[in-house]
Amino acid sequence: RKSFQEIYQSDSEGWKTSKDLRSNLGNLESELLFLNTLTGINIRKYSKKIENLTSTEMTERRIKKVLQRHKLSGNCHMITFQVEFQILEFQNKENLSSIITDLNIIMESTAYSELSEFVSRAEERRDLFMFFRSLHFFVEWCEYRKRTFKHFK
Amino acid sequence: MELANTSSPEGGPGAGVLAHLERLEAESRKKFEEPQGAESALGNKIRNLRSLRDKLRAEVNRRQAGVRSAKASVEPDQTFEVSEQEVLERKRENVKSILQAYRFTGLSGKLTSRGVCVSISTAFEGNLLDSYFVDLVIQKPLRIHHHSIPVFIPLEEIAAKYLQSNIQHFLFSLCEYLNAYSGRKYQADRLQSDFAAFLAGPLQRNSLCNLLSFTYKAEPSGQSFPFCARLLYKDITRTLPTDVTVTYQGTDALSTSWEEQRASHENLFCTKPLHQVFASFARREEKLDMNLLY
Repeated sequence: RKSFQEIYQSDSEGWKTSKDLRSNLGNLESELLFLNTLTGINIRKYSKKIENLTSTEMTERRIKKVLQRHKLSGNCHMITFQVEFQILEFQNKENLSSIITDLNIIMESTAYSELSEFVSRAEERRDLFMFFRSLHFFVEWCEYRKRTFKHFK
Repeated sequence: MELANTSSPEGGPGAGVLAHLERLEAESRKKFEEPQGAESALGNKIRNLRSLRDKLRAEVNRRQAGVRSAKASVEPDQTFEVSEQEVLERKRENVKSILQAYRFTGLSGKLTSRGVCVSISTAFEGNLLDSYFVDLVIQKPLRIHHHSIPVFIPLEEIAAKYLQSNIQHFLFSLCEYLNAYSGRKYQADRLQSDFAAFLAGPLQRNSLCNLLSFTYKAEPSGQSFPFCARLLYKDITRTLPTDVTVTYQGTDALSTSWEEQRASHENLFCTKPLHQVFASFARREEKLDMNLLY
C-alpha cells in the first residue's frame, strides 16, 4: 500500500522537489531545442484561449462546438513572426472536425518582398502548415544564397 | 511579569512599567525635598528604582530589536524558496505549452529512449486532418523503429533517398506525400457524404485516393445526361488530378451545348478540388430553382 505522501506526490506534480523540477525542465528544454533544429522554427511564446460555443440545444442533440484562439510568436533565423489563428472544433455523433477559421500572420521584416507573397497566399488559404514550411525553405534559400555570394567575394 | 498598559496604547510590553517608574521617580523627587531623616532610605529606594528602570528599558530595547531582526530574516528566505519553486513550475508549464504548439508547424515530436518519435500533421484548405508518426532510432545507420504511415505511401523509397543523409529532407518529403494523400481523401470523402444526390452510382476509389471514377448528374433534379468522370492523380504529392476524362455514356451524339458542358466539367475537375466543383453545381441548381420560382 502506498503511503499518503507517496500517493500525493505521484498525483500532484506541484510536489516535485526543485531538483526534480530542474531536471524535468532540462529534458523539456532539450526537446524544444530538438524541435527547433528539426523544423527550423523557434517558437518563443504561445498562448491559447478556449471558448465553448455549445448551446443547451446543441448539447441535447449531442453536438459540441468550441472555438480555440491561438497566438504564437517566434523567429526563423533573422525573420520574426507573430501568428494568430482560430480553430473551430465541431463534434457531432459521427465525427469531429477541426477547421482553421481565421489566420493572421504578422511579419516584421519588410526587407523580403517575396515573403509577403506567400504570406498572403497562406492567409487566404488558411494554410498554417504551408506558411511554416515555406518560411523555413525561404530562409534556407537565403542562407544558401549568402554563402554562395561570399564564396565569390 | 504582568504589565498592565491600558493607559499607553503606543507602548510596548515595558511602557506601562516605565510610566509607573517615572511616576515613582517624580514622587521620590518630591519626597527628596522633605526632611533629611528619611533621606538615605529614600535615596536608596530611588537608586534601586532607577537601576530597575534602566534594566527594564534595556530589556525592552533588546526584545524590540530581536523581533525586528527576526521578521527581517524570516520573510525574505521563505518567499525566496517559494518563488524559486514557482519560477521553475511556471517555466516548465511555459516550455510544455510551446512544445504542444509545435504541432501547428506541421511537424512535432518527442525525444524517446531510442531516439525520437516525429509526428506529422496533415491539413487541407484549413481543415485539420489525420496525424501520422515515425519512430526513429538514433543509430548508425538511422532506422525506423515503427510508424503509422499507410502502406501505399512510398516510405521505403523516400527513406532510401534521404533518411541517412538528411533527416529534415526525409521528413519534409514524407510531409508532402501525406498531406497530399490526406487532401485527396478529404475531397473524395466530402463528395460521398455531402453530394451523394449528384452521384448516379457508387464512387470508385483506390486506397491511395489517386484514381477516382464516378457517374454523376450536374442537375440531379433536371433532365440532364449523366456524365462519367475519371480522375487520375499521377503526381501523388498533389491534391489536383493530372488527367481528367469526362465522357457521356450514351449512344446518341451530344448536342453542342452538352458538349460544351462536358468540356467545361473536365476543366473544372482539373482546376478545382472535387467537392468544390460539386458545390458549384449545387449553387447553380439553387439559382435555377430560384429562377423557376419567379
